[in-house]
Amino acid sequence: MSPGEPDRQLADLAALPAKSRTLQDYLRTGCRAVLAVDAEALRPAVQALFAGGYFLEDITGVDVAEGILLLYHFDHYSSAQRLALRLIVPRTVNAAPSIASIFSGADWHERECFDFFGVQFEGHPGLKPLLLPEDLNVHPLLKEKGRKSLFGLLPLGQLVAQEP
Amino acid sequence: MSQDANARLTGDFYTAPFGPRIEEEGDTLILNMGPQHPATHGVLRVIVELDGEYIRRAEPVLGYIHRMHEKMGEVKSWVQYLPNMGRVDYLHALAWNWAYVGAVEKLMGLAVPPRAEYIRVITCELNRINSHLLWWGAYLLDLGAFTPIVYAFADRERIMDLLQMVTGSRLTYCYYRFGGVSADLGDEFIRGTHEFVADFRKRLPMYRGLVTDNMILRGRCEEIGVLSPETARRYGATGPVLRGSGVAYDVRRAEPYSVYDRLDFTVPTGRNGDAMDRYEVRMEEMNQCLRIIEQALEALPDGAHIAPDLSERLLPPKGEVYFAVEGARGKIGVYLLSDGGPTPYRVKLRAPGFSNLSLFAELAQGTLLADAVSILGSLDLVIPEIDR
Repeated sequence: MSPGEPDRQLADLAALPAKSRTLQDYLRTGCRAVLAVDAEALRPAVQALFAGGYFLEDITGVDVAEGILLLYHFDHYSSAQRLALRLIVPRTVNAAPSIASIFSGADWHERECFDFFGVQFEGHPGLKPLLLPEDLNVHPLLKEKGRKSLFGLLPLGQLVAQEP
Repeated sequence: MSQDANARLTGDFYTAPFGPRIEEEGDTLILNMGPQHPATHGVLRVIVELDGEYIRRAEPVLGYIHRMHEKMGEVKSWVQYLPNMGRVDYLHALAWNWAYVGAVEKLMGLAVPPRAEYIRVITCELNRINSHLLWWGAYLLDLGAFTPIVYAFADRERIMDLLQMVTGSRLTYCYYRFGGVSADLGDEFIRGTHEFVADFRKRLPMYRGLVTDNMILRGRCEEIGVLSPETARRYGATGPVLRGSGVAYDVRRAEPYSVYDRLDFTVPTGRNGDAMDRYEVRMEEMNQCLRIIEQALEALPDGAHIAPDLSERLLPPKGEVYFAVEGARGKIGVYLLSDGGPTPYRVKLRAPGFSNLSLFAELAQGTLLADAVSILGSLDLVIPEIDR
């Protein structure tokens, strides 16, 4: 399959428990779809992707005015199928469910996010620092200044759908 | 024993969870490999709990060479961040160059002249051979064979001389630019590369005769560290580690970028997923690199090596992009989020070695300590890339 072609597997995504599904122009963003999930829907959605044969590329975050936007990138070994799951973690909550029991590789990615953003992952088998020293109480990717709202960063279509 | 010595023996933050559990599990020994152990290739530390010679539990401890490249991405301008890429993975620096410039080009919708695409392919594949050669020499060194690394370095020297001609550096290249490459290839480079390809093609069978068919090597690699495709997927493994398990996933084929879809090469895979398969995959990949380089040299078009009329103050528009390339260790991914400002709002670097190393703990469980060294080497780790 060529990268520009629409594909069949994406159709299943309608069944995923997401608040919004935005198809993206793969050739421009490198991503076929962005799914906004809430904390309860994250694990079921990831479970469905696991069953669908996807693998986890990475988990990362972005510090925005609304909290930490967690990004989960998945791809498929059979063809280019990159999907992004998105979860906004408000600063008052500062915790997200762990997916390490579904994708074992998530263990380290979540520890890295904990290092960089201080987000807690509930149900993680051992959430301790991975890359930073254990006694360092600084989360370097939190922005001290210049923090922007999602409205200034992402296309409007995704945002309207993400409003609770 | 004095109190002080006792305190020292209790270990540190990372060994604490291993604690003594003598009553329930018998007499085990906690052993630290690294962070300065020669078999960990750089500053990686692995804590292992040994029952005799067998590993009960292994846990890699990272971060000894962490530099926070992702934070640097947020404080440097788009162009200033380029040299960082050569330092993330010093063995396949050009693939990281490519991942970053490719992501920025995609974000900006910047077209790359055809000649630059072919130059990138030629130099990136030369760099891949270079990386595989160092892995080959160092892996065999781990397994107790000293000679091969000397052969590998003789060949590496030739590649580094070639790349030095065009990039100006020998290891931490910063050669690719947004919209092309910094300098055109000269006749001397092209002639030298033709010669190298012809010579190296004769060296590969010699390597096989010298090392690959050696029964001691096979004893150390065959049926050691068997990785099933399912386990590889659970950890997000990519590159030769995944392909050794029989999954023909190569970003150059799965998500074709640049001109790779016009080049004829095969994606070698293994069958058993053991250390030997990962070894064989890399050896065959060097052969495929030669094929790619030959074709690219043949097809190298005339023209500009960098897009003309590029603004000096490069300002990508608002938006986000994910771009991936195939590095020597697997899938290198760069995620960029731009707010239209002079610096990226967020840069995420996906290092293939990070995911590949994370499966080590599971693979090493229940093996002999000596085999764990073989497994660790077969994963082809570059610690600066993992720690970033």
